[in-house]
Amino acid sequence: MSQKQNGDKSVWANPKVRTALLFLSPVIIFLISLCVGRYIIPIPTVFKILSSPFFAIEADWPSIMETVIFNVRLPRLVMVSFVGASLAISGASFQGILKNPLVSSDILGVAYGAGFGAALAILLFPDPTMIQFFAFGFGMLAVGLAYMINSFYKRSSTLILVLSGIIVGAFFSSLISLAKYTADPETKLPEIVFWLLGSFASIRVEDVIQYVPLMVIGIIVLLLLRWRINVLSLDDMQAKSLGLNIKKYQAVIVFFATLITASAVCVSGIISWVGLIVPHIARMIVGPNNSKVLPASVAIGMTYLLVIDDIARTLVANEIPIGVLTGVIGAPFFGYLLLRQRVGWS
Amino acid sequence: MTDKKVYLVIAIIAIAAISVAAYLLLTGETEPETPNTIAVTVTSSPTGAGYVKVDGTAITTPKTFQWEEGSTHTLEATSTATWVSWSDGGSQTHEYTVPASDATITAAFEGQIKVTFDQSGLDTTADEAIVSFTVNGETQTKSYADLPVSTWVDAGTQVSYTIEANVSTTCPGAYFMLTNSESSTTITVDDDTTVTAEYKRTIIDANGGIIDVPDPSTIERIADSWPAHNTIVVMCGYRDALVATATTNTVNPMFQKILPAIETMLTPFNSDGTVNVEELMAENPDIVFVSASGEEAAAAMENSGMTVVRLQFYNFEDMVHTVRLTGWILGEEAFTKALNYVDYFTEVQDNIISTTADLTSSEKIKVLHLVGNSLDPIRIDAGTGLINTWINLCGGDNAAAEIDGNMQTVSLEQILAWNPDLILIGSATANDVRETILNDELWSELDAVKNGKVMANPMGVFDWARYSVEEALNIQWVSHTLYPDLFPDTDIRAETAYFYETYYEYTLSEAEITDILRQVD
Repeated sequence: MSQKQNGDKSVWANPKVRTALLFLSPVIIFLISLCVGRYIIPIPTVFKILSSPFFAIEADWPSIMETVIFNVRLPRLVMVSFVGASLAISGASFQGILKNPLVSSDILGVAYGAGFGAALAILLFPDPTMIQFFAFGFGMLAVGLAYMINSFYKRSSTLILVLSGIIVGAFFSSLISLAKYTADPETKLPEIVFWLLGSFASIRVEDVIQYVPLMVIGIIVLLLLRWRINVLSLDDMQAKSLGLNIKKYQAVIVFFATLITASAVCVSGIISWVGLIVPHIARMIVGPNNSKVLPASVAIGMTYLLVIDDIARTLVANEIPIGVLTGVIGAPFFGYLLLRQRVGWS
Repeated sequence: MTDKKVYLVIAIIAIAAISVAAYLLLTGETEPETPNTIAVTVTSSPTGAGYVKVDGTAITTPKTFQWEEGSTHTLEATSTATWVSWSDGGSQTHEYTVPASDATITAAFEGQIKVTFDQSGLDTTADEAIVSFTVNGETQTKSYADLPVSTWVDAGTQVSYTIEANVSTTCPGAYFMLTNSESSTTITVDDDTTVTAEYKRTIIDANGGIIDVPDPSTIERIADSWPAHNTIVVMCGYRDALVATATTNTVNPMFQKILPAIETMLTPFNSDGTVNVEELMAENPDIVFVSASGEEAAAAMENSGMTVVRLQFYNFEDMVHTVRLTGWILGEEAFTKALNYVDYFTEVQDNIISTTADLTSSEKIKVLHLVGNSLDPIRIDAGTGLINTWINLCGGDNAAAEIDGNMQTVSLEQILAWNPDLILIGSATANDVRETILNDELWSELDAVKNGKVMANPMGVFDWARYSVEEALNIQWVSHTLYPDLFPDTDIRAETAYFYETYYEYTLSEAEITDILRQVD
């Protein structure tokens, strides 16, 4: 925090208020998001519908509105929240353990691995259930490969790991191009392109049941390990002197960060920027301590992606690809933040 | 004289007359008079066409006639040349009596030079005067049917002529372009001269580019990367000329029926919009048809020296234009087929427009067209493009009119908000998608689903919804599906059979018609 900030007398300066606002914001935005959409439902009706399973309220709304709230908006918003949280916390974790402020949640090639897995499944099987299975498997495989390359070096460093991730990412990105090249342009290619582009447009309750538990587990594990990430972000000699098995913790954190990123990619394709900028925004608010940055990233990641998705689904009748919006809105917003305040890193 | 004597004389005369008549009759029948056939050669100096008319018909001298002796014929030395004399001493136009033995008669002209105007490269679609020439202050203008035409002038005469440099045709967008160096000049003639206007065939493509196309007689191998356009080539009678096509067509079951060779045909056009040029060059296509959106491949093929024709349509006006232009490129016979199709399509279209014209906005059915290859994501065809065109033409309202473009991604919430009366589904997988929708709780809120108004759009040699010549059938199917009471006479099964017979020269079985219409119980 700069001196100027410390002199600020506004409510925002109070750390307790700030923390409260930070963790309330996803809840507030979630409720607001439930009220907006292409199908116009009056706000009181929204809340009546929401409370109808718990209280005896006479249904004076058409059943189609219930479908919109419970089967369309709710699963989508839950999914968006957890994808935002997953991308943000895995980004923050990678930035911490790799000691590099420029890495993002897919730095170890998980997104391209998953993308290739999905493309392969689309080409090989007519059955869409294989797509998610392959995507997830290849996403994990890509990170495993990066880790393996890294382990070939006796004196492996975080830099080597980042480079291994880039190598694996480039390899799978080429394989994606090859898969697109051989795909039938009328049938298979659009499917691959749409999978890679990602969309929350057709999220259903089943998707939530399939992916959210994985994400919740990953997020909880990373949150529990946030102190270790703090230690791992010190340089290796210091960490060793604290008696930690660096390699073991690094591997566990990479595994769970990858697990939730792969889940997010399976749901919504490759969404850029979230895993990179959300941790920075978190650091601006709560400082560089990872034990605070990780939970703050979860809250900000949820809020941020909910807002972006609200724009994607309401601005015009056709869905704007969310990966496009996160870049178009995220990049200038990040630039604005940089101008107002130096992005913290220590 | 006594009465007896008179009777005797009369009787003798009568017998004599009857005998003579009988003799004449008999000899006439048994020995008919064989006319003496004489070979008469009519010639001129100099020889050639246009100097002499015989019995009113222009001949090319020398010419030998087999005429009956003693018959008469009119010989005329054509007035455009300066006539000097006939060898029989007759006047310029005179009656000639065939003599008893073979003869030659010559018309002599003096100091005359023949100037001929001719063309190459034109066909009957040429729709303008081709050449006008001025001799001795007199100007004549000639069109395609008049050519070649000759005129005679004195040596040293100046002949000025103008040849149309850019001949429009009965096909919009198609032209004959003059390749001669000069289209307008004055020449001084000292010898027989032939001026030949040489034309090449040219079209204006969908990007406004001027493209030279080969002479139809040389088009034997066609590559066509635009899936829907392949159906136009088939309709124009050129299915056997196809040597390279798009992957979509090779896997279409009906296309495989009307052209079995399609299944294993070369598909050098890649999904990323590029083309394997060398593979295509090995097939040596005389012409390549592409859609105007495939520019990268088009440029690559042009660089390899291929003739590439870019075509595109997003509405029926442009579709008709594309059909005509394709027919014209492929020659007069194909052009006739194209015009027949356009007539059929226009009649069908006009009938639907006039029948649906009186629908009020409250009577109009709200139609949503799903792309149909997947519901994840849901893609629809919105307020622009050919699908929107036919929804409106058939008297429907496009539920997705507020957004633009084909194949747009929308959320299920948006579809619930639109709440269409009828859902049409495209793609080969339409019936699977239809099943999913009908059995899905989320979709069940829609009026269309509640009323069972979810239908697979037919698919024949091509998806009826999109771009092919089968649009003529599609608008009949859609209008009848929307408003069965307004179109009580539409028998889409019979119409489909007629269409395939007439325009694809293929006889459909009843099972095939069911497959095309994707009729399910």
